[in-house]
Amino acid sequence: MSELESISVSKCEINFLPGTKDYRGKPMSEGREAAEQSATLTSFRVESSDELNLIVGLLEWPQANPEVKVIDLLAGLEKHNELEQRGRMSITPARDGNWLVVLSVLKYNADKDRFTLHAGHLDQIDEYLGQSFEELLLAVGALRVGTRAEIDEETSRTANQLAVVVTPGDIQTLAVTYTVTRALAVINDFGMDV
Amino acid sequence: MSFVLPVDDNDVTILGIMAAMEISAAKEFSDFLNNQFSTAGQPDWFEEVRHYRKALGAPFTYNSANDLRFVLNEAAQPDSQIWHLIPNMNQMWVNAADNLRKKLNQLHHQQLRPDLNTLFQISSLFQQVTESPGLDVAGWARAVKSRVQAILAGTFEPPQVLDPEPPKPEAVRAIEQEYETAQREFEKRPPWGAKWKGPKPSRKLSVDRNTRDIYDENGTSVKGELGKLGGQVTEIWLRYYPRGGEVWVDEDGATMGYIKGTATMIGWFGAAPDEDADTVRGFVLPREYEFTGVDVIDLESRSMLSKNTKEPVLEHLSLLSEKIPEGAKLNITDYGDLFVPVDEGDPERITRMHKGIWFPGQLPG
Repeated sequence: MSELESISVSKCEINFLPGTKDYRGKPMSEGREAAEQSATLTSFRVESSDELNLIVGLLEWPQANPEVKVIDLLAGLEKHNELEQRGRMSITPARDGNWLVVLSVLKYNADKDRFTLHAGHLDQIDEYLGQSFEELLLAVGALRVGTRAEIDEETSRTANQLAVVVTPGDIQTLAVTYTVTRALAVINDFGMDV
Repeated sequence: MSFVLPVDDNDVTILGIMAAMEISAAKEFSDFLNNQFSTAGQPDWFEEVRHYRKALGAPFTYNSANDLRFVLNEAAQPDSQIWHLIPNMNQMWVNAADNLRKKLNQLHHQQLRPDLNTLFQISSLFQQVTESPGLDVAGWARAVKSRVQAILAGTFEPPQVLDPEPPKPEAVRAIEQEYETAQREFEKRPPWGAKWKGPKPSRKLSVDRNTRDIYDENGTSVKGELGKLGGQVTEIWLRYYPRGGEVWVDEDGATMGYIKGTATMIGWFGAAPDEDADTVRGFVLPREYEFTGVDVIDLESRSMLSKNTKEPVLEHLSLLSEKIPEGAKLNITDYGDLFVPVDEGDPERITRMHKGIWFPGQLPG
């Protein structure tokens, strides 16, 4: 896989920012009570046709699971605030040592009048994305896409969750996954009856 | 003239094909009729028809038989002077000729959006009127139809190296230029619900779907600036922009909002210009409708307007019954301007519809 400086995905443009930084904070996987610690931050910028300018980062913690979270919402519409508040993407180790990301999607919840994470379905994602999400992920570098049973031999109650397996640290596939399931879902008002 | 086929959905090429088809059909028809009449010993037949029509007091604006509108009009008259010469004439031919005349009038008034669906529709009409007298245009129209179907189905692969385009007649170039002017106007102020093409306007406001109010950047309500129009403007914006949020208003009041990431024309801050005028704006949708006296039927799907709108439409239908007769054919443009198609001159707008009171999915937005 070649190192790309930018990737266009539907109405978004992802730019990879060079280098890494130290980041102080609490790992999501350790819960609210976790102690603050240092992570290595690799970041990318997501810009959209509707003025979104968002810095997102991959945090690699020495003693906890990595995660993808918003670092800074630099500009955007009122509705893009949804991205700053919610939509962290957790990463767990796959059985073969690679990284596994469950494909949850930010979806409008009418009862709460805001976006919340819901189980992803490829047909619904393909519809707002305008192309096959699975093909896009594989083209950008994903190792496997499917249910956790299919791609990670999962047998527990999470076996049917849609997920992607990526090479550890594969920022490109992680960025595309984040952009499609979070940014583009909000931009396209996914789940809103409009 | 060589018979050009489309290779993609380029609007100017499509427009050129439609205009060139008209010129070819006109020439072939007049040659065909000249031959027929000459054989019958009537070389001055066109002048004779002109005198006949003028004697009846009918308007006769055609200068030669080389005008397709003349042929289509004369052949469709109950006392047609040329009907007997065209093989296999029937009512279907007359209907197709009538439709084609109206379409060509729209083409010459820059009201026909040159897309593949329109090209298919107009090619079908050309085929229907030119097949029975055995004109070459019929074969061209058939080839255009199959090509359009292949392009729409994604099975047509354009050649790597395109043949150079044959030189175009002056009349075709003129209609292309007029279209480009009309297209620039359209892009400057597109219909409600269509893509916004210009720069982003400077005045930023926001519309709130819960309070149905309009605010400036300080959160102060500015709906009062609109006076009596306040409620109406907010409803139009939210019809096209149901989620609400930031909008940008241009100096003339045209208003843009981002819908699913796309800058979109959502209405006007104030009255829309030409709101009270009776001119028809925009491009005609490639569909036909008929007024039953109480309802509008979409002639393609046979569905009734009264049963297919998101918002109540009965008031508008009763307005139509005051303005147009039962059985009237109707067309609509992407601006929602409803009108009875005419084969000469400019049509008049009957009323303005919007996506909430029209068949779903047909108007933009």
